[in-house]
Amino acid sequence: MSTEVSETPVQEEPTPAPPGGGSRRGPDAAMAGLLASLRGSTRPAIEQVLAFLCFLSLGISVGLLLGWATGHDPGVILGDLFEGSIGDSISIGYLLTAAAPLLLVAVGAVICMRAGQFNIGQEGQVTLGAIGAGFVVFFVDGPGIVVIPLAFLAAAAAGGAWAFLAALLKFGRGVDIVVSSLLLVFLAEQLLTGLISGDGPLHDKGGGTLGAGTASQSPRVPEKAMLPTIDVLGVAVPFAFVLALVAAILVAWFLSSAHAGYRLRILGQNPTVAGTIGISASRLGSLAVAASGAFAGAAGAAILMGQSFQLNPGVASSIGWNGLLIALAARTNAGVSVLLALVFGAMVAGGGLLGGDGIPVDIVNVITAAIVVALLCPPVLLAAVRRRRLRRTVKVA
Amino acid sequence: MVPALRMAGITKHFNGVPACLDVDLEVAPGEIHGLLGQNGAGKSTLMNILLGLVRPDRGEVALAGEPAVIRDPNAARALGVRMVHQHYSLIPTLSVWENVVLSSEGRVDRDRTIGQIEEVSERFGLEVSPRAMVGDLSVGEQQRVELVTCLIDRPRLLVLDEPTAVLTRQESRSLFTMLRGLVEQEDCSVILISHNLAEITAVSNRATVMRGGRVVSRVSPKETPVAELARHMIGRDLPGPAQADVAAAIGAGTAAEGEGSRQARPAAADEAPVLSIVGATATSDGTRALDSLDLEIRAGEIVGVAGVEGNGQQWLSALLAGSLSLQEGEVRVHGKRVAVGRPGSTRKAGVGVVPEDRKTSGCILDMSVADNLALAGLKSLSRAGVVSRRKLHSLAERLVDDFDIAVASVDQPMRSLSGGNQQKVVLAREMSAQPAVLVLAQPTRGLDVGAVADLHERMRQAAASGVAVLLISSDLNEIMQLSDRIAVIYRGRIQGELARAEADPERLGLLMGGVSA
Repeated sequence: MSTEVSETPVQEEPTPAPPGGGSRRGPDAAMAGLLASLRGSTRPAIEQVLAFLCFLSLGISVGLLLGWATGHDPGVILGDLFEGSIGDSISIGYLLTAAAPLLLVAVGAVICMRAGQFNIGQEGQVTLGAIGAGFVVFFVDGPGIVVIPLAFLAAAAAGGAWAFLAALLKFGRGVDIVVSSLLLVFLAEQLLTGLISGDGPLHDKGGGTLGAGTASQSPRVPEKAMLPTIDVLGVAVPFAFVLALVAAILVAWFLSSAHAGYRLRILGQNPTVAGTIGISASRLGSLAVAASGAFAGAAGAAILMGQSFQLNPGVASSIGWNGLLIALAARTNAGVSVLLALVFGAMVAGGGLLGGDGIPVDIVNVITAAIVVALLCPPVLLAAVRRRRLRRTVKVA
Repeated sequence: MVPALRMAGITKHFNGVPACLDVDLEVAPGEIHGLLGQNGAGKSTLMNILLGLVRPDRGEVALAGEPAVIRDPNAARALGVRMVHQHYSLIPTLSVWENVVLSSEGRVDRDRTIGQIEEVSERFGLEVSPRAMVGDLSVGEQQRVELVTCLIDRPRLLVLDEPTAVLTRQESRSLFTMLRGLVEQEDCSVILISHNLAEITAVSNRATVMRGGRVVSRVSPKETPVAELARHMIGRDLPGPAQADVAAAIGAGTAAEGEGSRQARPAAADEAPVLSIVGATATSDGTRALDSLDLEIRAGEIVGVAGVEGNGQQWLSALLAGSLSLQEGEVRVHGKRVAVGRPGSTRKAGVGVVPEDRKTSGCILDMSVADNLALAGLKSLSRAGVVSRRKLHSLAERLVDDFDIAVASVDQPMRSLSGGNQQKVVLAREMSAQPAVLVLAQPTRGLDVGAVADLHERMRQAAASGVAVLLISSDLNEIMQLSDRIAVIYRGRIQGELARAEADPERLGLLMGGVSA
């Protein structure tokens, strides 16, 4: 017999929303829904792996197809991407250099997302981190072993403080953190531009670099403050990557085993329950946001001392956005973030070779975007399949 | 005279459970008809059928003598049937006229809509400013917006669900004046759903009383004593304390124990209360949540809070969960004042709460059973800031055994458990903290008979071991079976208290209807 599903019992006198849950409206609530749907099916299942691989190759194919449509050989594109990222030990070094700041940002984003705080302003926090590191690098005189850790600390403090501003606005004045953290990105960019141009303290007043004195840029990072590399089986592994990897492992452990990590997850999963067991959303929530900002800030230091070696407008170069994307596509899992950061890094490193063959680097962005979509598709698709199955069983019953 | 509305033989089952059984309802033209009944009496189902939200299994509806098939709310509106629900369906970020436009058809015409609103609000004396933002309005003003939205269509039949529950006395009075004008001048009939006995007596011409899905009586309220109305509403057969619990029948505890142990410990009145709430007053989102509520519980006592739902029960439970702050009054546990409203404050003071909506505020569905059992005691399970998985597991295993929770593994996600087992997890967690006060809000809702019996037995055991138990329930049978003392909550305050022996349907009904017994 088939019955209609719509005939569910209508409750007598619906009770109002649970007290203490706070008003969850606006972008925050939308993000909460998004995150919940992402978390939904982290269960490893063969169908999930198959779907993932399917969509991954689909994503790459779409990118290649676009290249082909614009008159470039897909074989060459694919070859360049492989060659430039894992072709030889130097390429692998490039890959890891590119992956390091992405991973740092992603790890931070994992922390605040798990705590249910939707800080999306990592791009700005990376910028602030680069500024903080810049002040140390250009003003502190000392050996690398002093300057580099100090620069990382300053970067983390600056990024953390910038994120904390958004948290203050949320818990103090009820401003949606999605909005405030986003808008702070543009403020950060203006701040950077101000500091590195004209009379700004970080402005390059002339030191032999191109555009010195006129362009909005800082001096070059002195050699002693450039991040070292560690030789592993012939590959020059950048220090920043080691740092990011350690951070990822520590955060994964922290979230799963530490008392504070438990509390963080409880807050993220159910703020109402968190409140009843004595977790203050404003205190722990702002700490989580500040921590995520600190990691993004450290990424800014890694960029300045490991990649760009100079501050210029847009020094964050979308690493904040991409890091956030990695955290979301990894469904707020620190371990998966490592893998994804490597994939993203490979795209950046491999993309470097495309120019030489006359292929626009934008193809890389298309492929990256397609991969992200591919990663987000399986859970959505599986949920749809599951729903349909459920409906069928209800109908049969 | 042809009745404005005739519903005949309306029957509706949900998943085999009857909500309405052979209900007849007749409303005369130009009358205010009261519809009276407790939660679950079938009032809402009946009205949902009238509005086309639910389709009946059987039965007929006729409007002004014409048989009507109402398939959806649009059809109901076309036939001139409108309803103001208890929880308004307004969008706070839109202005009044925009909200009004939402429920109309055709082009959006601001000037015409504003004109209509002004015309209607003048005709009925409903003060509404069309350009105001709905979110800025008081609850009373929002209700006027709902009313105007309905009245613009010139309905033949207007249904109001508990319209005065959130209004001040003044606002209620002007609402009724307006309703009288409406039925006298506009040839419109009104169905007034209420549990406020005085109100029904004062304004309605006739009333239909429902209980358990059936019509139990049709009365002229003005000629019927309030006490009789109360009796109709509650019924005559309240279970006494002597009535055997299902627990005994299914062997969750012997009858002798179940009965004897409860009788053995009547709390002495001069004993100091474990929990005392004095003059608790609070508002939430601008509406009254608690209104100078007083309540005391002694060790070993089970106090039942009865009342029609929506009278502040959820706020009382929120207060004791530490998530509602007071404007006036205080909460004391063992004589010590608790800083309510601060996260975890009441738990620290020794109050355990099994909340009404266990899925949203009692447990975390996406965490494991073990995690959920350990939630509150994480600190004692960790050393140097690291949670010991071994300790966490052994605690979980022990509680699963003690409370007979049916799980395949304690690592199973909470979501995969049945409602009864989820409830047991929450209860186990709260009990394992050895609270001085245990609060259970609607604890048996949605549970099967066996789970209910088990839960009741555990509550009795808790009380026997000296815990002060507060049972908030809208199920009078449950309250009568378990409580030593019954406090009736009405509009955020305790309307009256009765010892179990004094509790009879009439007194309870009067208190629940806002009349002092």
